[in-house]
Amino acid sequence: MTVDRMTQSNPEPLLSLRDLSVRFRMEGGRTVAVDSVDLDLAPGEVLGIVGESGSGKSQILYALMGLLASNGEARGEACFDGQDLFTLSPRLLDRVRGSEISMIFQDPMTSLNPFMRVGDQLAEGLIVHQGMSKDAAKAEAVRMLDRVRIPDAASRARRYPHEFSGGMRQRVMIAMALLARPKLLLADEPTTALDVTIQAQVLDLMAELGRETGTAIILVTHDLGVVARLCDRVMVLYGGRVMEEAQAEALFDTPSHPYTKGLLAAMPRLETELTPRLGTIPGTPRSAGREVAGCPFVARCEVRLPICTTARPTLRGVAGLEPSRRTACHLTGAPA
Amino acid sequence: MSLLEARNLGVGYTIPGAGLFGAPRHLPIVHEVSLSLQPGRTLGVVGESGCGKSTLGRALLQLIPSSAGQVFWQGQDMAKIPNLRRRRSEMQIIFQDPIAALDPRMTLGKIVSRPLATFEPELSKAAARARAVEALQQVGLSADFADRYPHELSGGQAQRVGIARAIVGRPKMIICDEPVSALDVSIQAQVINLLMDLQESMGLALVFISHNLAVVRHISHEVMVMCLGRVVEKAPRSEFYARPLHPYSKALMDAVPEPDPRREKGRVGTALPGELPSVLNPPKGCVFATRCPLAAEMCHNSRPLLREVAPERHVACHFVEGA
Repeated sequence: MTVDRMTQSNPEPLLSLRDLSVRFRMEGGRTVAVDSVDLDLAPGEVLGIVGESGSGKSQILYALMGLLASNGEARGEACFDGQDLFTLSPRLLDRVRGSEISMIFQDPMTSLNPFMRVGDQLAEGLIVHQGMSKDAAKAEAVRMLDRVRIPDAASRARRYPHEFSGGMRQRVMIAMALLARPKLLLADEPTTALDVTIQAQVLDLMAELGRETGTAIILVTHDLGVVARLCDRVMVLYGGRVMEEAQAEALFDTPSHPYTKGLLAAMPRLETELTPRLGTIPGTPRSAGREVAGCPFVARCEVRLPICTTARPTLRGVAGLEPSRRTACHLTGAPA
Repeated sequence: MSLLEARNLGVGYTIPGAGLFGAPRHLPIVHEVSLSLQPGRTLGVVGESGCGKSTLGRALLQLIPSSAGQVFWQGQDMAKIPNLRRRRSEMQIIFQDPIAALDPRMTLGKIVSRPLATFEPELSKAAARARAVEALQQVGLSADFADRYPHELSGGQAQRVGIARAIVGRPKMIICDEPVSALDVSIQAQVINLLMDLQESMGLALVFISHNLAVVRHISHEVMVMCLGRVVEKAPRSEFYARPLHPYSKALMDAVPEPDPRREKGRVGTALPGELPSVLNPPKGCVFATRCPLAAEMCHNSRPLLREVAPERHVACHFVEGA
């Protein structure tokens, strides 16, 4: 499906990252959080970026939005709709953010202004970015709240964020993000703080709205289940580097990187046959640190070779797997 | 005889009354919970936020007073056990946030051996330290961890220390309150496996409290589903997961995203509508009636009792027939 979109209707990717790195200046040196990530996202595509803590998954989104901490720096190219986000003037970047790219966060409460009525917060963006009149913007805000299934939207719009439940707040955030009809929605662990039944509602909503508006989504999550429900394509990140990339079904059917395999084996499931013990990956996730010469996963990898500590595996096709697969592993990533 | 038994346990908190001068009122959180736990077994308690699962866990240890019913430890009413503090070596608890559960100013050796000062005051300092080191090793941490401090630990290591502290007094049971929820997937699996290994080697009974149905499936022998402070279903693990009977259990099961795109893509659009009702204002009838796809008028008016519909299978739903 995604491939069709790329090749037929729109050959240009909406977003393409080249050699994206995010570094932080720290006491005692530089820390690399994201290390040479390449990515192409087609219009309307839903991409999942999966990783554990410290994998750098959220920093990719922060870099795109210009939201890195003050000691952080993004390098490389982030070409969005023909313009490099990293070289845009602050004024132009402001115009892109909030109208063409929107972002939602894990904790909706800290993203909403507690002193402002929800409807007014929604309308603000329309007034500022699209020059709508106050009344028209408020009416549009109510329509959008209704669209994300906030019951009794007109009267809810006059209430404050603390009067909303966690799930409703996240739906308000989605409404806010989609009001400007962005081409790209960045979602950073949007359902992690929610109960499962509410998470299911929010995921449904994102799937539906993405389909209807043609908004492309990058969903950052630690939850492979959430990825399976929502994403067309998946990118697995470890220690700031892409370990594996594939269409969602293919990745879950035939994971090829030892880290992806390990993650899938470690997940307890509802429907597969029970094993006496879960699969494990020894050790703890690598957090951002100094650049490494070899593969960042090497310390935890059970099939490592001597070369893995000295040479960085490149992301490449895998013999015997579908052509769109990319894996960064000396052992499995033999050229297709 | 059961190791732990609860009979019609009720727990509540006192909350401020309405307005400035309103009298404080009692807010019931857990209602009429009965359960029993055998040595070496795991009871999984699952439910969404506000269902009372953590409150139940604390009440089972009588760390908070119950407002109704009784808890029995090896047949003895816990309210009447003399010197309960010392008996607590037999029943321990571990928490969700492993780092917050550790005193940042103490070495891990001190943290882990500390309970022994209460449980076995006759133990010498050196002997207590040796026991702490032994416990650390049992959870997979080397002896040199005894001289480290909590800030040096990752989340997974901190949870291991929490477990070491729980087992140092050689307990018969551990209440595990969301012990893996804050951990990365790869670490979560390590900790679950560790708990299962310890259960086997020490004959531990576990009460495993979690919002995660898949984790509960992996570790539990019996499963109890709670909703708004009430047990809506209780069943042996394999029967429960093969065929959940209560509509709420089914809804929970459907909502859990599995790492299987074929299953998941078919589930888009099936989410249960509605919000969890507020604990402050619970529905009059069935706790799930406001969101239940099967709800009829009777469900809004009369509360279904938890009844045995098949051997060992208990469900609180007007519509579930004997199975």
